[in-house]
Amino acid sequence: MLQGINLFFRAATFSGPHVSNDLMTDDKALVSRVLDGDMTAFRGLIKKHERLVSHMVGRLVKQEEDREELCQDVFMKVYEKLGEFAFQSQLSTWIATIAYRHAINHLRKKKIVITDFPEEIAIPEENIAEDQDIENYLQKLIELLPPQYKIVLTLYHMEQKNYAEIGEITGMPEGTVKNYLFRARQLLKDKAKKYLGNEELT
Amino acid sequence: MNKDEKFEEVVSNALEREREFELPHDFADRVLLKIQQHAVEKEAKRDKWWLIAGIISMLGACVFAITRVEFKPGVGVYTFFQGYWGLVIFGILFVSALHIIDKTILRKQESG
Repeated sequence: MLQGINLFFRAATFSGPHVSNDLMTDDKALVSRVLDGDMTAFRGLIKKHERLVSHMVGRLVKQEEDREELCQDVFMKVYEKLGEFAFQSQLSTWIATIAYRHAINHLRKKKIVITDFPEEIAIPEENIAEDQDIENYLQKLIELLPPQYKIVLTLYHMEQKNYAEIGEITGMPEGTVKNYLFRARQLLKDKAKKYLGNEELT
Repeated sequence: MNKDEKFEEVVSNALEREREFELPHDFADRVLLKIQQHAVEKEAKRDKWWLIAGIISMLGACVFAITRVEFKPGVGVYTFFQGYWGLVIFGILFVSALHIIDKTILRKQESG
């Protein structure tokens, strides 16, 4: 219940395209320095957003050997396109959009089928080995979710992005984002219940 | 906290747990290096295109000049050698022999 209230509170707080002015000013100063050729500023920009990019790429791309290179390519793209960034959103949202597109293109190149808006969540549980730790078990389940579900969960829970921002990053309507979040969480909750059975949680 | 809330908490904890994949600590430096390399490659590529454009322009100018002055190709001064084939062959052999001596004997001695 508390978690539900927490989610409701976040949804209400972040119900619109809300961009903090302080963050915007910081971003503007940073971007302006990078555009003036200050590579130390770009180093700072990478440091500030590398966690976000690594979360997104790490969640979508399974091949360990491809992940770092993809993250590097994302920041190279950011460097190339920074002059076109018009501050209509937070810098982190714009970078996340590039990272998402890059990762999805990579999956397509690897011939991994991505349905545009999958309605069904099918998890082949036979691929999951028995694990004593419920969190490890849930992590493995998350790995088996369709990419769109994984990215929505990551952006919402790890990056604290709101529905509008997730929609902007992924190109999904806000309603779909809410729906995916709800269904993925519900599925994980059901699986956790089933996995633990009637065992009392401590 | 009832059972349902506890399940919610377990799911949230799993979702908020940091991933095992981490970028190396010098990731930013690697990106900067890659950008630098990319810029150098881009410049080299641009230089190559300028060189190709220069060669094409030069050939074009050459063709244009030849057609303008109605230039007729001929062997010119080399017609002198027409009666001295023996001298020409001797010259080629002599120069070749000097090269061979230079490479096989003189340079070997220098390096030794």
